[in-house]
Amino acid sequence: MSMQFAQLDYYFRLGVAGLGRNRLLTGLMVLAIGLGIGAFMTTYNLYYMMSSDPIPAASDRLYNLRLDITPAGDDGYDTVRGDNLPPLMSWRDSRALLDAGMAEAQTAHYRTWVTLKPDRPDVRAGIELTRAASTDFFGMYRVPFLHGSGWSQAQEDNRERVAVIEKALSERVFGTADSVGETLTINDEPFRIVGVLDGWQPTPRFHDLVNGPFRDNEQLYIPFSLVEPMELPVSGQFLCPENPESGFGGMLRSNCNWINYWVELPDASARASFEHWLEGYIASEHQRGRFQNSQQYRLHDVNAWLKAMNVVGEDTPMLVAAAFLFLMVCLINTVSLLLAKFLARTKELGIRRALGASRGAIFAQHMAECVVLGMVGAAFGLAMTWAGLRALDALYSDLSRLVTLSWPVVGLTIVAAVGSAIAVGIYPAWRASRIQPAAQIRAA
Amino acid sequence: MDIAPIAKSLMRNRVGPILLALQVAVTLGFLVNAFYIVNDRIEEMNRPTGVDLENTFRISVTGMDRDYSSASSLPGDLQAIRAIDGVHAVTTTNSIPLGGSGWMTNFAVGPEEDAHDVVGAQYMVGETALEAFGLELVAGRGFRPEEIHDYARGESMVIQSAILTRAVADQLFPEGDAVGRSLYMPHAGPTQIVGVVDFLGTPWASFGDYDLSVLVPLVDTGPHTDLVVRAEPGRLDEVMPKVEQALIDRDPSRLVHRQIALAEVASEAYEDHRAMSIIMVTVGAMLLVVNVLGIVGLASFQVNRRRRQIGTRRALGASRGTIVRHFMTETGIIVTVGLAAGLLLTIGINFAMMRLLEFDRLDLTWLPPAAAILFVLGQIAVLGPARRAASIPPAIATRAS
Repeated sequence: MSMQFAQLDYYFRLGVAGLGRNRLLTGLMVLAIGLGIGAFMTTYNLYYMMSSDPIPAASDRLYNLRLDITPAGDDGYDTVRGDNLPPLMSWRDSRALLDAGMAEAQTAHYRTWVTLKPDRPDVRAGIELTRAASTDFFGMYRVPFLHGSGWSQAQEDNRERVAVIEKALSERVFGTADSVGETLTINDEPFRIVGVLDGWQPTPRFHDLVNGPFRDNEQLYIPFSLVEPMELPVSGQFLCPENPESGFGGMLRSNCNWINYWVELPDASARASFEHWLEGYIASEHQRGRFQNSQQYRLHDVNAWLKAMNVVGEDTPMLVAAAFLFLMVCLINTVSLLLAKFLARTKELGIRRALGASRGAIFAQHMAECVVLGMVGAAFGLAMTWAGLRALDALYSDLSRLVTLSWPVVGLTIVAAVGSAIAVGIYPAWRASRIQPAAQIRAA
Repeated sequence: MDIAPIAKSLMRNRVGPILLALQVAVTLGFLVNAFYIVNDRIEEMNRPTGVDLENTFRISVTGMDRDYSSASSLPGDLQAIRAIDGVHAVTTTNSIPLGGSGWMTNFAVGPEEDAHDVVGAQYMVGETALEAFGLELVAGRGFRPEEIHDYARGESMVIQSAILTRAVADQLFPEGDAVGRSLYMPHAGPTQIVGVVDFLGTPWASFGDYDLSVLVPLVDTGPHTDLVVRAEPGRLDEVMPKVEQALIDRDPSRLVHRQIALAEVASEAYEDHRAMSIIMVTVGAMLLVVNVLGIVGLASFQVNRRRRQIGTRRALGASRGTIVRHFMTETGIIVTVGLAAGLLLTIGINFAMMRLLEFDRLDLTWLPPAAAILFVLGQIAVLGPARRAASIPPAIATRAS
């Protein structure tokens, strides 16, 4: 056993020494492997981040819900893969479902904007994108609080003016992260801060994909029950199968869709009983003249919803494919370079063979050289991946969260680089091991 | 130069040449698709908006007090802006070309449900919209002040007149008699068509029929107002801060914000296309470099291996030119074989993409230029090693190894 280790160590030292010879060829090979791996891993990292599960703790029990509210004969919408239902929900149905509360937890929310008038004279007044969300929002989405908590169902029902704030905004308007209990003037009304978040930002932002899967989250959250009294406008997609009646009341009565509606269903039986209730609701609304196009509804769990909304898009797979082709060309190039390098040693190898080195030993020696090459290539490839991600960050304004190097991708980069170097080394090493001893001694 | 004997000699040591041909094949496949993608994106980025992008900007005013109404302050705001030296025109609007947000509506030729219609963007603008956006009127007239109606909350929407883009007019009224006819929008109308403009892009870069837009004379008197201001040619940078200051001066309690040049809006709208083009061009260039390195490497390797053979040929009377042409032909054969394999590969990839990704068509427009680039580059790359081969002295043949 110990002898074999010594042997391996010898091969690796030969490998390092081998790389040291003919520096130009070695440099070109490191360049080829590093650039190829770097390009591929840059795009793969992007793909990996875009398609990752934003909430692994609950992604299989949170469901996005949509109803077919389009009028009879309407073609519907083509936003969601696999159906023509609108990608969002109406006020009327969201309100009815929230009030019924038939799931273990449920939340309705959308992005609005409000005016903020801080009390401190040194802070400018401004408008703030804000999410109007019902009580269960924070619990369902497992939102971690830095200070305080969300608001209670009773506070929601009583239309209390309470708010949850992000740390960054809290520091801007209050000068401190812990602003629980402070008062904030929102739309000229005093609101009490009940909780502070520490930069909550699931990626992709599964809870409002329709309005951009990689946008920054809002800095402020207020109860959904305030939508009616405060007439909170919609800042985002507002999809109407027919024009609404005028006024805010008309908007609420309409079949327009702008609300994200999610339910938490922990198991199959919870889902079955919720669906049973929902079908009853749709049927009774159908009797009142609604849902005339169809009585369909759709429940997607988090990961199915990401797929149905095509979060990854068309461009990213195209980039991965392009980078893969580039990697292939780089690796083919490396095979040629290795071949040239190994066969340039024909004389030396002939002598070693004549002195008793077996074919296996020559093969192993060259494979060891490839492993060393792969490791150097991996280091260069990681640097290239990092640089590539910086370049993507510069090219796209909304990808800043997707261009951080994730640990699984770092590991994969090293494995891919060493694996590629081994794969491209097999044939050249085999050729090197076939060199005949006798002929070479004669020639030398 | 005889191709057959050179090809025959290539076959004797075929691994290197086969690898190089393979590299060329994959590169061709990449280039054909990359050219197609980049060309497609650039074409889209170069679409006109119909608007005077260079001299126009958007600015927003938002009332911060609960009892604020833009209905009372808007006439004064517009007047103040028009009074600024260097301002050509100003209008209220609900959206701007490529701005990303707007109203998508059905426009029909009749009130009945199955009436011929198009889906497009509805721009809600003030009376001087054509001047402020810089739109070219090709028929009829612009809006009149008395046609502008509020659609403040709680009021019903009155749309008295409409101006179509030529694209909408051509689709709805192919006879060319749009002006004077009626247009029907859901829950409104009939609306009289008073004019046709040459071109106005929708607010959405990815909207299929990009120039299907209709202007209607409506103003939102809610707390938030978007204004579009067009400066005299070349005076945008000077006018922007003046307009901002004028609006702040008129009522400091309001928030004056979101000012951005329309050219910048358009540029941001195409960010993805620009990024994709830059990436494809960069990867394409890197691929060509790798190919050149491969060709130089293989040719140098062949030259070194055959030094004695080349010397012998020189000694037997072959000119330098013959040697150079030998290596150029050799590379030419390899690259050509690679291009042929690449053609098959490209068709294969394209076919697979059509089946898997619902790619619309087999597009080989860019095959000839991509192949030509690779072939010429190969010939240039091999020139160095080939000339080094030609400079091998004939005497080397006589030397003992």
